[in-house]
Amino acid sequence: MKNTLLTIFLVSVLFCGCGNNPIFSMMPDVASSGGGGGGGGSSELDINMSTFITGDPAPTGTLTTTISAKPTIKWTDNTGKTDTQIRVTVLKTGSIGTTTYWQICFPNTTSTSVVYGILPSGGTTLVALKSLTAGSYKVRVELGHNFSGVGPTPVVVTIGTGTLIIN
Amino acid sequence: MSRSIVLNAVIVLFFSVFAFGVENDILGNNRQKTPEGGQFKFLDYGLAVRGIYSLPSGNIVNATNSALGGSVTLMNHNALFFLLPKLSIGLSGEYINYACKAGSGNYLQTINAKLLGKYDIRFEELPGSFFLEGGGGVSFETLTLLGAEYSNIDPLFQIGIGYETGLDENFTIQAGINYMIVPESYISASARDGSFINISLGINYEFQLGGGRKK
Repeated sequence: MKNTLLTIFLVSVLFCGCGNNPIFSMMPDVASSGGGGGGGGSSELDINMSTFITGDPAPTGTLTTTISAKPTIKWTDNTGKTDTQIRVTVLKTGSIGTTTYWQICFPNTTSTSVVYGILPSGGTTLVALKSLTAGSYKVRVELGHNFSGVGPTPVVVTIGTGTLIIN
Repeated sequence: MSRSIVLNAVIVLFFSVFAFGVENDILGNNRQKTPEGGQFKFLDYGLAVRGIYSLPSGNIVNATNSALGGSVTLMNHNALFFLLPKLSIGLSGEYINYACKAGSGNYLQTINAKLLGKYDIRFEELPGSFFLEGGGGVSFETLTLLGAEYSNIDPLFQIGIGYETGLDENFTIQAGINYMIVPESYISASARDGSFINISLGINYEFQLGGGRKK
């Protein structure tokens, strides 16, 4: 009886890869998003936030480019705020809409990936979009406060959407 | 790739030390010594409650903060007596809740169920005993991120060392450090694995059911 239970436990351990959520990969990497990620040079998308003012209607733009693997999204913040956060959503298939607004999933599936970090007051921050394979992606970049959802309702403005093509 | 090499090297080192100890009889001091000055007896079972300070390591150090947790472990000292007299086997349950560095309200909750082997190494000069502890199990993870909740079940593996010394005939204090890895590479979109260094401190109660064999 004891050996049977032991065997069942060991076998269950060996075959227990039961889920499809890469939990550890889904967690945002705060340090790398705050200090600059991989990529660089031609693999950067420039997003200028100089015209952003809280309360303005959300500006929209098109980010269409052809870049290499492991692209970096780059933006400049001159709003003077020290608690502003950026959120980048990448959607492999489907479209970006209100129904997926808070959805966080992962590339290579029919879902999205989110990378965000706290911006410095002014200057430039790079956020690396990792684990993206070749293909076409929908991208949305948002600026806001309190993305964690604790306290007041998050103030989020979409500053750009577009298509990201990775060869 | 490099993580796998390091992990394999650690496992090989563990078993090399283990085999060296068995071959050279440095592990041979038995558990029947009369308790004196921190020495203690192992009875049939040991029930240990430990507090854990867990530090993320590897490529998740920028994703989660260190965390406090706890574990309860029931060890049987006789089940593997036929294999090695100093080898105990037991089941352990563990709970640790990590705060994500992404901000408040984001956290990773882990409940780990493990099957552990514990090998005691006692030296004449020391009152207590060292132990090697390792095993595997299942990790139930729940990630709460930006208001959404995701869960997964992954395998886990752990290896560690510790020191145990007696308080009285039935109670011992255990301190240990271990490395635990929760691989997620089997998921196609996964970019990294869970990797933790756990420091633990706890108390163990030795007890006997019926007229079991003393070691």
